[in-house]
This record gives sequence, structure tokens and C-alpha cells, in this order.
Amino acid sequence: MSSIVETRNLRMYYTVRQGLFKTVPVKAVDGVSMNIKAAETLALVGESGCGKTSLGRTTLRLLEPVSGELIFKGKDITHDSQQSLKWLRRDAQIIFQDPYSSINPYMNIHQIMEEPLIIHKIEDADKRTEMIYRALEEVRLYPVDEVVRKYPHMLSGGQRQRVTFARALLLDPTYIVADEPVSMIDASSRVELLQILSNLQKLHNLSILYITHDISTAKYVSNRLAVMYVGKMVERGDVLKVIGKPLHPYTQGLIASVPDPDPSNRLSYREVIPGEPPNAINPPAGCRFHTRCPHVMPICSEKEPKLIEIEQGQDAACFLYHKEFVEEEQPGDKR
Amino acid sequence: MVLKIEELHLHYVTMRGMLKAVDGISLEIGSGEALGLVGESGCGKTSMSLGITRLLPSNVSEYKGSIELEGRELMKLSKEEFRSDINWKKISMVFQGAMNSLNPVIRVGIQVAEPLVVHEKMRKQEAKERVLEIFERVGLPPETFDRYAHELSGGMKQRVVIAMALLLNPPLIILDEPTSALDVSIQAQVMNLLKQLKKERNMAMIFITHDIALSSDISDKMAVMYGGRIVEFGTSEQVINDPRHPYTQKLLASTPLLRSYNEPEFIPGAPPDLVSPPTGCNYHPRCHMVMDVCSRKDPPTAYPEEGQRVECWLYGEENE
Amino acid sequence: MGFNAKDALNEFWSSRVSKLGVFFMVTLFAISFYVLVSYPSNFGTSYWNRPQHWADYPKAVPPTWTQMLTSDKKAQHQILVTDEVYVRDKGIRALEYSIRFNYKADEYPKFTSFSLSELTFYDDPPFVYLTLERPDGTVIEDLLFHSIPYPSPGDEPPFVKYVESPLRIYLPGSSEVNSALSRFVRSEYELGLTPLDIGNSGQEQYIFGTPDSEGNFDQPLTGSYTMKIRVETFHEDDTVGSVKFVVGGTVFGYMGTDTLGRDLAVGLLFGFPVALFIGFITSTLTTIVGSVLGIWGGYVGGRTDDVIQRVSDILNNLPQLPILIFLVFILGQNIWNIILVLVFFGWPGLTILVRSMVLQAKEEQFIEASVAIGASRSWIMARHIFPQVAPFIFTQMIFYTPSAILAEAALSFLGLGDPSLPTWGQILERGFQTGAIYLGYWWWIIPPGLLIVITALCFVFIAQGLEPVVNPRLRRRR
Repeated sequence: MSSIVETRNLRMYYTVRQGLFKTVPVKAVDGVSMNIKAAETLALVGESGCGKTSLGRTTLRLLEPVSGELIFKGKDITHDSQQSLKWLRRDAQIIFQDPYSSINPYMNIHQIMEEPLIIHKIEDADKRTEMIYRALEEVRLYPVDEVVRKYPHMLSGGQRQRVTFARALLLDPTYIVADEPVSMIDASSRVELLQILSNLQKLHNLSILYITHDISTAKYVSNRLAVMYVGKMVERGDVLKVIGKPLHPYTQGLIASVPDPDPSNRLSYREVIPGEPPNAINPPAGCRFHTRCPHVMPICSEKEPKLIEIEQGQDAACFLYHKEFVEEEQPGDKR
Repeated sequence: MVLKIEELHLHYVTMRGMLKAVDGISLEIGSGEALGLVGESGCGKTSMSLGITRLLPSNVSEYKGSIELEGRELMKLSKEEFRSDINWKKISMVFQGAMNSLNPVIRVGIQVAEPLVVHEKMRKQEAKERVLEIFERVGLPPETFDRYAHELSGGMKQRVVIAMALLLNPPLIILDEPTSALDVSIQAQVMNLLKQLKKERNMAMIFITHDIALSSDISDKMAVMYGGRIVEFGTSEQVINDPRHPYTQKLLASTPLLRSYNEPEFIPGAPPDLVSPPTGCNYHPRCHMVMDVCSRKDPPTAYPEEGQRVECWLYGEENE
Repeated sequence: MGFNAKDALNEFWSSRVSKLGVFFMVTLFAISFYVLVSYPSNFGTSYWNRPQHWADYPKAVPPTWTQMLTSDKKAQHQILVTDEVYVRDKGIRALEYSIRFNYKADEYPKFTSFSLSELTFYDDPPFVYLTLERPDGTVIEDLLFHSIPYPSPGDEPPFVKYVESPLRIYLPGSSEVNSALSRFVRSEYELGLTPLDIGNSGQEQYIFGTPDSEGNFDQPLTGSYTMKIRVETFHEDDTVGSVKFVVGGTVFGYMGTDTLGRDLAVGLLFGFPVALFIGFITSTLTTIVGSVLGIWGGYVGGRTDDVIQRVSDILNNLPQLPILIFLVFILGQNIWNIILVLVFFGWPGLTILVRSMVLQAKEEQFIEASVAIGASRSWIMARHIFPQVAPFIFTQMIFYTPSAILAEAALSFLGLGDPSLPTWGQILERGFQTGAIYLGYWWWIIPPGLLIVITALCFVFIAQGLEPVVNPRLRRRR
């Protein structure tokens, strides 16, 4: 299967002000290579600040890469100008976490849905209406002719998020970045949204980058799972393999941290990753996890392990499994 | 029994009408027991905690029922008495996002010690020693005392807030979504801390969350709230392993499991609007077991097992 | 969230200040509308600031209604015009006019004057005779005799005179009148007063009064008077447009007059549309410039933003009034220059505020969502940013209106107003220039000042009423 989106050693830094005049780069995405195949869902899991959202947005060129390559449908778009990327804005969409802030509260649903169609020059108003109705039906927002007249505050969180799903689908994209699409939705409606997302994916052969901090929903919607830690991808592979037998100590700790509903949980302490994630401004040398890792070895603080295949369909970047490391390279620090 | 609540009502006046956020709730918590209060957003679980701690918003129209803490009826206390005798001393509270309410320009240690100096008339040195002792217990290094809030990570701030709640050694602590702003790995650390505190201090807790899995990590008993009422109450074993109320059953079924395979289900529809709730059982429009009577009459309380309480017509035919 | 126009209106209408503000505003607009419809367009130049126009009016007298405060009956100002002519053909040809009027006051008129306009003659210039018939039946014959001067040599008949401005004769200033009155009191009352005595003691008392037993003219003769005007001509085609007789009052109109005799009520009324015009135009332009720059700078950021911010910081921190004075002085006292200068100094405040709101508004996720679907900057600014800040901008516009009115008043007060458009500030300024305060001409100073304050307050009230609509944090709990 061919890749829809591919990144090669992609880096995205943003700067924060430190003191009065100094700005320092935050290495949000620091050399990530990955690919998403056609009609595949890749779940990107990690804690806040690990760079998963930055990576997702960089693949859409909503954030500008510092170095590396970004290939969309075989075309290198790393350095294309924003003006020349209008086709990408049609072919690739993003769904945000918070359905309360990601749609304009001053517009009704019809206006919200119409916006992308007008921007992409679908001139015929009847055709636009027809497309809007079809998309809203696909996300099961009934009755459509009532829904289109409503304003966002008249809808529940789940319904609003379905509006954003429908809006993302309007232009028939091939790639969607779903950034924590259900984390603000009530537990009872969350699964319904995930079902809709899966159905839509099958229906439209979408490639989805599903960004989440919640491994259990990732398990439910994705084919493959990638784990990020402080700007680096530490493990990736088939979702059931990674969850069933995580290789990287960070993945292991992450999975151990998440409880399933079980009354015996309370009787024992949970195995936890000690400490807190390091700062992405000044990440630890070598393996970034070595400061918290229970299996830390001398080499871990010196060299950075390479992300390579350990088992069939499962890669990990950890010296417990191999001795290959990333060659010392100084990416041209442009800032 | 540390806390015994009977028929607590808390209603608000809103622009649209009366909102029955808490509509006749009863529960009890034994000493050293953790009660998990589980429910979706808008089910009244936060109002419940505000009702217990009497931190009432200004638009409350009705506040009645009985709250007994260690045998003392709290509803009879005046506002002043409640504030001086109960708050922090008997019941302390950790709010969702409380860690963001730390004053940015005062050293966190001073902030934690302040109630000791002001209310307990403790000498400053003594108060500092006490704070350092609590800091150690919640896993904060002593130098944290002189730090400012922005110098601490989210997990550490949450520990500071928990330390504040523990300071006067209250018999009951209410935790409202204490980990929802934290990362999973930090959340697990905080949960371990709470478990440890519960064991060491024999403290009763009300742990409020929307996440039934997280609730199971600490709760001895669980109360499932829906539409301003507790629809199911029992030990964690009873609620999780043998849920009786259709809502509890579906809520569990909708939780994706990490360690075993399930095909999660969802509950169609949306939670009720508490300004104009449905007639009869609040859950009947979404219920997969709905019967004729459910929409007509409020459900009866049934006791299927020792210590278990369900509000559902499935178990209460005799009352019809 | 969600913005509901009906709720907003209810919220606005629920406060007493907004009701008061709207009431004032409606009144202001009604008056302005009346003025716009009824006043000539060249009011400022051809009427207000043209002294001849006010020549027949009493100078610096208080409003008529002030006589209600005293027991005396004040002399009403009467301007009596007629063109009803009787042409006498027998003997000497004469054009005869007759003006009847009532005099009821307890005091003598302030002055009397006679005017004649649009005289056409073909031969020698006509003579004008005035004869007054008084209520007691006595007649002052030939009270005034005036011979029209000869035309300049070289002029050809017909000779047309007094078209632009009429022939105006102040009776008190005329020696003819003194002689006529001297004759009159001798024959009627047997009082031996020389014309000089008459001139020194004021003619009005002899024209309008009768002597008491001691020969003092203390009490005016009230009742119906008739002024007969005879124009003796030397050619049968000679004509006169109209004649006018003015009995100068000691009170006038609703608002009194200034030292030029200008009816202050007329000037004050004209101030309404001018104030609103200056206020609205200035605030609209300021708001447009300020919000466009604020939205642009705030959204686009970078160098553009830096430049806009630095410029607005500088302008905002300059002492405004001295520079306003300087610029208006340099550019010229024209209303558009004044508006331009006010706009120039007005926008930075709004820009700074709008920018800070835009900085917040552009962080909204739906903005990023819009970027992600390929929306252009201008699209986002127009469709997503502007609606968020629009209510605020609207309120600011209303808030800025009184500032503009006050600033214009200040400039006018300093003598930098546009002379072609009388404003309240200019009326005030004239008052101060003339020393109205020391002379006790309160009716010249208080009304324009009050009007400026009330108009400014009206906008402040409305803006205050709008504040909670725009800023939900201020909404009162219900």
C-alpha cells in the first residue's frame, strides 16, 4: 500500500521568549519519520507536550517544519508556499479537540458548513446545500433541515463534534488529522463518535492521524499505534501488538498507568513512571526517557537509540533491544 | 459513619427556569472509606460537592436535606459556624483545576501555611514545620516551600493542592476530578498518593470523576449519578462486577478496555436537560430496557443485595 | 455562548441609563432633523455671521420668559414690516404706508428704528416723512424727515437703492427726531425742551410717553399706535419695496440675544445637527481607521503590527490639545480639517484596544479551523475576527462621539472653530470674548455649555447601557 503522508526526519521548533530579549527554540518535533498509508488510521499517543499535536499540524503545514521532509501523496510539500497549498487545504483536514471552540458561535450550522465550500469556490448554492445535507446525514445528525438552522450553542458537545466531522468531510479529503476528537465528549457519547469516525473512514477510504493521550480509544479506532515522548517517536507498530506487548519502557509505563474498570485496582499500587517529563527546550542527551527509565544503562545517556523494527510490525527505539543509535548530527539551527 | 447525607436537594434559578442539579440524594461513607461519585458532565456531581461544602453559587433557590458529619447535623449550622468549624478542619476539598488557582506571586509554602497562621494562630516556624511535614507526605521535596507556582509542574501543583487539603487533618476530603488536567503517567502517581494517604490516615474520601475506570482505582464504594440523582449505589465490586441499573451497565459497556477485548457500545441520545427533565425516570428516553411505567412514575428504590441500592423499575415492581 | 439580538436588546433596554440615553438621543435627532429641513444651507455665512442680518434685533437682551420672574412688564421686541402701499396721486405724488402696533410694556423700548428697502426712482430722490399717531389721540407730526441722497453723478435712471441692505435710520441718533419731538412737547404739553435736551434724555420717552404733573416722562403710554410713513416722489414710476419699523425690546425670543443682536435660540438650534455631525463623522472615521488597523495589526502580526503599534503609542502619548491647536491653525479653520485632525489623534486608542482583543480572538480554535480549510487572511478577518470585536467597536464608536463633540467645542472655544458653521463651542467663545460673564449675560453662556454636556452625556448613557450587552461579565444576574 502506498503512503498518503510521509515524514522523513521532520523537525518543528517553535520559539518561546526567555527573559527580555532572548528567545529559545522548543523542539516540539525533533526528527520524526513516519508514514500513514491509504485508508489507514495511525494513532499517535503521548503525554501533553510530547509533540504529538505539533507533528499532526506540521503534516498539514499549519506549522512550519524547520528541517526534514514532508511528503503528501508522493509530492514533497515541505517548502511549498501557503498560497500554493490550497489543494492541500482541500485534500487534508483537521478535527479539533474542543467542539465548543472549533466552530464559530456566531454562525449557524449551515453557515459553518458552507464556509469551506465557498472558500473552495463551489459556486452553486443548491449544490452546496446538497453537499451539506449529505455530509450531515453521514454523521447521523437528524433531522438535517432542522440542524442546519441551529446555532452551535443549541447543540450538545457530541452533536457539535459531529458537525466538525461533517465539515471535514465536505470536500472529500483523503487525509484527516483528528486531534483528540473525543476527549471532551461525555463517556456515553464518545463511542458513538468513534464509531462514526471509523465508518466514515471505511466509506471514504480516509487516512487518519488519530492524536490522543488515551490509549484505550486508540486501540478501538486505529490500525497502528505510534508513541511519542518529548519530540521523538519511541515505539510504533500494530496497535494490538503494541498494547499487548509493549517494548519500550515508556510505552510499558504508559499502559500500566491506565486503569480498566476493576474493583481490585484499589487494593494495589499502580506501577508508575517516576518523575515528570523533561522540558522540550532542553531535553536530556541520549535517550530522552533515560532520566525516568527503570532499565537505564550507561549508553542511554550517551547515544540516542534508533527506531528500528524489533519484531514483525513493531518498532522500538530502545537499547534494550538493539545497539543502533542515531549518528551525531547537528541539524542546522536556523533560529 | 463519617458522613451521612439524606435527601439533599440543590436547585438553581437560571434564565430558563429552575434547574434541579441535585434532586434528593442520599449516601453514606464510613471512616477510611473512599466513595467514587461517577457521572457524566451535567449530572450534578459537582453541585453535590458544592452542596456538601456549602460553597453555594448565588443563584441557589433551594438547598435542603440532611448532612450529618460525624453525628453532627451540618444543615443547622450558621454560615459563620460552618466556615470556622467545618471548612478545611472537617471537610476539605480539591477542585478540578485548583492547581491553577494558586497565587502566582506568593511562595507556595506560604500559601499552604497561611490558614495555620491566620486561623489556627500557629507561630510561623511551627506552621512551616507542619507544612514541610505534609509536603514530605505528598512527595514534595522541602525546597518546594520557597517556590512560586509557575516554577512547579502540573503534578507538583496538584500535590501542593492536596497538601493544602490535608493540612488540618480533616476526616473527610472531597476530590473533584483531581487528575483530569494531568497526564496519564502523573495521574497514576497522584492516584497512588491518594491510595497511600487513605491507608495511612484512615481518611474518608469522596472521589468525583466522569471516568468509571479511574474511579475503580480508589473507590471502596461507588455512586453512579444521572440527572441529579444517584441511580446506583453499592460497593465497587457490586457496581462494576454486577451492575443493576441499565445506565451503569451501559456506562461500563461504553468504556473501551485496554487489557481485554470488548466492542464498546454507546448510549444513544444525550443526558437530560435538568431544567425540563423527562417525566418518570430521568433515564427512560435512553434506556434499552425501558418499560411503560418508566415514563409515568419516578422509579422506586430497590435493594437487590446487602449494601446495594438501585433506582429502577426493573427491580421494584412491588411498589406499583 | 451565542449572540442573540433579542437578548441583547432586552439587556440593553433593561437599564435605566440606556432608556434615558435613548430618550435624549431621539430628542437630539428630532431637533437636528427639524433644523436640517427648516434652515437655509448657508446659514452660517449668510445669516449667523452677517451682522446686518441682526441689525433689527435688540443687543444682549435676556430671553422673553425672564419677565415672568419680575413684576414689571418688559418691552417686547417688535419688528413691523409692511409693503401695503397707498399711492396718493393728487398734488405731490406720495407712497403712503401705515403700521399699527400695540405697546403694552411698563418701560420704554430700548430703541426704535426705521428701514426702507428696494427703492427705485427716476428723477429727484424722494423724501421720507414719519408721523406717529398715539393711543391718546395725539400725533407727532413729521417725527422723522429724511431726504434720500442724490445718485452719484453719471448714473442713469432708474436709480435703484437699498436692495442689498436697507436704508436704516435709528431714531435716537437723528437730530430731525429731536427737533420734531421738541416741537411736539411744546405744542402738546407746553414743555420747553430744546432738541438738545431731548437728545440727552432719550427720545423714546417722548415718543412713547406722556408727562406727569411734574413734567416727568416716567410712564409709557400703552395702547395702539399707528406709524404713518409717507414717501414723496418726483416721478410717477418711483416704487418702494417695503418699509419696516422696529420697536426695540428689552427681552427677546426663547434664548435672548448676544451683543450683535443674534437670536441665540436660532444659533443653539443650529448647534444640534452640527454637534451630531461632528460627533458621528469623527467617531465613525476614527472607528473605521482604528478598528481596521487594530484588526489588521493584531491578526497579521509581525512587522506590520510593530509599525502600527509604535505609531499609535507615539500619537497616543503626545499631548493632544496643543497639537490640535497647532494643526488647525496651520491647516485652516475648516470643519473637515478639524475632523481630520481629531481622527488623526483619535484612532490609536481604539487600535490598541482592538488589537488586544484580536490577539485573544485569533487564538480561538475556529480561526485555526478556518486556516486549515484554506481561508485567506481577509476572509478570516472579515468573517471570524470582525464579528467577535464588532459589538465592542460599536460601543467604542458611541463612546468616542462625545469626545469628538467636546474636542470640537474645545477648539471652537479657543477660537479655532469653523466660522461657516456656528457651534455651541463658538457661541460660548463669542460670549467669553465679549466678557459675557462679567456683564452678567448668563443666557449667552449657560445654554451652550449645558447643551454640550447633555449631548455628551446622552452618548455616554447609551454606551453605558451597551456595555453589559457587549461585555457579558457585567450582565446582571436575574
